[in-house]
Amino acid sequence: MTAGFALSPTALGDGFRIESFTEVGSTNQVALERAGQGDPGKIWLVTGHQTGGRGRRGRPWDGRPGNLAATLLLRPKVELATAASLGFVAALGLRDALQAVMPSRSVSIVPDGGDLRGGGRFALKWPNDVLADGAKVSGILLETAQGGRDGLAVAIGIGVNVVDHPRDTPYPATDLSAMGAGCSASDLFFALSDAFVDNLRLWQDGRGMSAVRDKWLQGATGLGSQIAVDLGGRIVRGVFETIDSDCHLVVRGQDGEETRIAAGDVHFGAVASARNFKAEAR
Amino acid sequence: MPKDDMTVDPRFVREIASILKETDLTEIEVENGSMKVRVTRKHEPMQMQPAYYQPTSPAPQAAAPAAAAPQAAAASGPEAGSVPSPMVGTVYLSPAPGAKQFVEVGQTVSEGETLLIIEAMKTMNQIPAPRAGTVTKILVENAQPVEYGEALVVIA
Repeated sequence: MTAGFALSPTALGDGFRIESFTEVGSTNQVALERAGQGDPGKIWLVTGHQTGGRGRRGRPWDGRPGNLAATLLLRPKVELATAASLGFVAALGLRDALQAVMPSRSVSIVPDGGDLRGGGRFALKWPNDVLADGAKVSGILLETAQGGRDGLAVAIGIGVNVVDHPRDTPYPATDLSAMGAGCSASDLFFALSDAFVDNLRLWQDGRGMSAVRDKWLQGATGLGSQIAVDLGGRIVRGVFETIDSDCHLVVRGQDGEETRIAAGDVHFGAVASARNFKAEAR
Repeated sequence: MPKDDMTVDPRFVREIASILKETDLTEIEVENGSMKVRVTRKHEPMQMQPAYYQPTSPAPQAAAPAAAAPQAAAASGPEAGSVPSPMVGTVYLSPAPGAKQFVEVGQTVSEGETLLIIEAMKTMNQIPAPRAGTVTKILVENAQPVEYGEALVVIA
């Protein structure tokens, strides 16, 4: 246990709990263990030093001292397919929290034309990334498990580069300190716990999905742009049209064919190759 | 679906109805824990399509098992003991690339043991064995996209 991390009054009033650690392997792992032990959920597991963080498909998440790692355990009474939409709730909660601790610049909505740098300081990237000035500042990974009589357990894991970020990533990365923010991991967590209350209310156990989708689309980066989606070997290229009612990515290819994608890595780098392709076509 | 939840997902019924039509069977019964769903038809049923296809043009390696499935179903309906996918997504047979698979054919599993992971929108969902038994078939490839209701493994 460590002092420093605290829930916002709104989160406390809404029945959320917190357990914080000086250092921990993986907050998602702890959350799923708690679920296995029968924890009823609405508990945040938080640390300023995660030593064994994990990303998608076993990719390590570099957790440096002073950065934030937080997992919210929920036990929603919903179908598995509905629970996946919590990733969008998480991205919105994180974006709102980041804007709250760093409100200095104006926030604008990406115009339909897809200027990737026009999405405000913090922009949403499908499925649940939050980018800061186009760079990776955070990571969200949800893990679910079915726990017998207790039903579904959802661990919503969030890592944020607060004071430091890895330099060896294949994509641009940054941290809040480098962006000029003076906030600590606990300042950010306080805002995060607050923002999650609002966004979970919007979600309403999945009944508010269309409201979540609308809010997400308003802050999304790259709408209308050329993207490439890596489906684990196969690449789908096309225009990022929208997300459907299940929050699946809708990509329209050159031939006008629409592809809906449930899982994959989105790359905006397709812009260059698409331009090359057009040049060849001429 | 959670065992303590007695509500029936309409998409689940729709999916079964779709298989019914596709295979020209007159009745399909699916039992999952305490829930049993039986879909029958006496008259020509309405054209029912799954609400979702993913992706529109599946990868070649994914197309083969998908094409084979209706044939098997035509003979006997969904194979007894098959575990259907609870969602649209991508299947992973191991916790990380290169790691050991959660289960192998011939392995005995206990109820609740993780069989595989299905990812949708960066949510990694551990899919548990609905009952104890022996894994006799793994019907999906690693990193393959799956549809709602698609058979994943067979536990005898």
